[in-house]
Amino acid sequence: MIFNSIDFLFFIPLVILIYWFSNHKLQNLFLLFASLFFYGFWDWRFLGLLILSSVVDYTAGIQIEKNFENAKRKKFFLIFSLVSNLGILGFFKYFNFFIENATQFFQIFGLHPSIQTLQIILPLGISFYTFQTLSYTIDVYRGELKPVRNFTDFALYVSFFPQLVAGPIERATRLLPQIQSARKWNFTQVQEGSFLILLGYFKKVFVADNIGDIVNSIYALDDPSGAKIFIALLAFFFQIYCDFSGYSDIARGLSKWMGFELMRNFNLPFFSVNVIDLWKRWHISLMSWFRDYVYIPLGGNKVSIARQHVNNIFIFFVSGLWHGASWTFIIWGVYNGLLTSIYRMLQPILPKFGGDDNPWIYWSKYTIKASFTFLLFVYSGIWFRGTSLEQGLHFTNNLFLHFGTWDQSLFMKVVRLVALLLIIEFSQFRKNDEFSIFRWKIAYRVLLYLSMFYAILIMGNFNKNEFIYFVF
Amino acid sequence: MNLFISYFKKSPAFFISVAIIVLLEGIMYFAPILEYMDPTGVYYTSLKRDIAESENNFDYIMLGDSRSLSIKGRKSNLNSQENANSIAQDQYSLYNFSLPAAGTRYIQHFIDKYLAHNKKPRGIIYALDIEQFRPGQSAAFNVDPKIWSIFKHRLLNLFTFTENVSQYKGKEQYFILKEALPYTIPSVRHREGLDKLITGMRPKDIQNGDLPYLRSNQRLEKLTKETYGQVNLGTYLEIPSGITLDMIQEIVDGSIEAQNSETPNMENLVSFLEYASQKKIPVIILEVPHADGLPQSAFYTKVRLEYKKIAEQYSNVYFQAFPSNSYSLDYFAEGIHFNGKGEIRVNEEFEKFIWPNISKVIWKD
Repeated sequence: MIFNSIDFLFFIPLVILIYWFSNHKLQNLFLLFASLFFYGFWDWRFLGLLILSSVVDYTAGIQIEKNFENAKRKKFFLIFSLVSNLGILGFFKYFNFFIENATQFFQIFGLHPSIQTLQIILPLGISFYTFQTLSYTIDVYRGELKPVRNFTDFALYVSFFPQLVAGPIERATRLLPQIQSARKWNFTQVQEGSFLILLGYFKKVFVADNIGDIVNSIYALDDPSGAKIFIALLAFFFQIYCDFSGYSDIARGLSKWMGFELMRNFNLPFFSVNVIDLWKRWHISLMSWFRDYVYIPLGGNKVSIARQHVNNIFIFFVSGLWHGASWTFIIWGVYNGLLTSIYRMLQPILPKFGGDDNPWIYWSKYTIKASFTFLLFVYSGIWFRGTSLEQGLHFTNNLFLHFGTWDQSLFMKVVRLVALLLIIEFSQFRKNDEFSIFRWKIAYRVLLYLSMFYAILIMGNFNKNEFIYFVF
Repeated sequence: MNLFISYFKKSPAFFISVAIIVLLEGIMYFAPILEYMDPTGVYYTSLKRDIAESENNFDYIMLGDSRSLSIKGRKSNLNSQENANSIAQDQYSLYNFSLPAAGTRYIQHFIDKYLAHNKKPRGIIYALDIEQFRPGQSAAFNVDPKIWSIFKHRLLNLFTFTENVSQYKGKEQYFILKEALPYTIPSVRHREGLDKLITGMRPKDIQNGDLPYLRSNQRLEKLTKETYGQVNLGTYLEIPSGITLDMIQEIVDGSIEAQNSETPNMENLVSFLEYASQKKIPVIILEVPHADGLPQSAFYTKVRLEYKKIAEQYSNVYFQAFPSNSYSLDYFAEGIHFNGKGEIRVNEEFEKFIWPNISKVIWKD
């Protein structure tokens, strides 16, 4: 089931109603049932994988604690979880990619192995729930978390429907205690949740899906000019940002309606002043996962500088691969890894112009830094959106060498679609408060709510249902 | 109440917004101008629905699609002085309720709607195109959403939410329910016109009353009134210039090739005839002439044979053919709809050969 479907409009009021009329124990059981229904509505055959993943890590967690003093057995159960989870993920997501590349590799040596690829459907949200369950087992292994004894609670942690198929990837240390303790109806939470849900639908249905049409129209051209590619990349930034953060906002909003707090997955990336800052604001749950479970175990900042850079680029490489089994995603990841490493190297020698006490100088500097960071990141979209290496190279060539004439009307279409969003985000940024809108004057707030609501209803694009991040 | 007041105090903007939305939607629900701001296709459906829902008591009604839409309806001349001695056929009125791209299944429900507001007609002219009996056209909408996307705006505007939902069963009913539900909200129902109003109009145009689609819909309304439901799409719509006879031939050949191996699905016609028999309304099956080649194709021949078979089975069903079921390509705008010359010919032939026969049709017990 997807958030922007009528099925979901029937589903959610029913869930909320039954949920708040149940006691805590029943709430969890009911939420688990609702979550499995939500997932199975897409394709019930893959429910088995979700349940399998829950059983594996539930068992691994208990066994790790049981054998906590026995390092060998403890490690065995960790490896059991890693192999099971990553094995399933690897098969469904990377099997064909591996076969295709292996075949091409052998062809270099004149060998022509006849290995067939398989018709594999990628289970919805597998990358998200796999990482979520893995974090649980690793935390138990590290002794940072007590394993859960109640299977319902654990299964609910794995399959909690608001964030099941596209995150945020919640840590067990954060979500499990909320599942285990009673939730109370809180009007402020409901109010915040409602705003996030409205914002999420606005981002998805109005901005992302309409702006996506602009991106697609340019990508459909055989040989678009650099100017058009530039506009497509600007538009794609907002498409992917609004699609993904829109989903996260709805997920967080729905969770708030049920008394849960999920982590913020995007924190105004448009206002990042450098690439490291940007990666602290973009897909926060995934990047912090890689930091805690890959980068730090590899030595973190305690190893040599050269090794730190290699490790940094490695986690971005894996992040690219996480997004999709294709070389374009890998290039996207490595490009961003290189940017962050280069920035870390240059940071100490970058000139500091001072004058930050003067607001004009401060904001001018801020704008220049944010624009530069934005443009560096926007370029990576050529690989994220691209369908092949050839296309990526061709578009890069046109972008820098065949810019052509500027298409003002196309650019203005993009501006019109993102203008209201930028006003909201600017307010959030200036007040450093996600809910700064609540402090606007009533008339402005009413105008904003009505504008967002009718932008969704009248100008929203309902032809595209799925969220882009479902495929990851 | 106290709880509501406390929530209102905490979030007045939210409650005020909800109140404004309810008010706006209420106003839009009762504002007839919004229907005039719908795209032409949607407006035309609403127009025919409104005519069916008002009491006119036409003697004969025609139901069909975009090709039968080319046939002019007729006013009853019964009370006219100058026609005091007119022959029987001039006494009867005929209204053309044909609608482009609406499928075969809606007809029975449309008649239900018509009969709820009007007397039983003397006869129904069933002038659907033979193409409508292609097997894919009758698939359940939830099974083939492509078919639904073609018929969608027609059916959702022709019937109310409850009418739409009650016309289907099982999974298809749930599918239709999901599709029809958003249309109960006026701003969704009229979203194309409203979108154009908000994003594509200058304040000056709006002040001058030049609202989206308004002028063209008013023109269409006038024309429909004058012609008793006829609009010849081949001349009404702007057909791109430069269409040659060779291009038309290509369209015709393509259609023939696609259909020839198919077996017609006559289920919806049979079920409609059963319905009409129960209501005791005679049905005249009319084949509107096609471009040369199509009527001679295997599929068309099969459907025509079915027509004849069915007409033999039901005593109150008549199959009525034009003197020639095919016209040369120069009578068509793009291979499907008539051009000006074709429109004149088809109407002359209808007047001369078809109408005299139809106007004699009455229910035989």
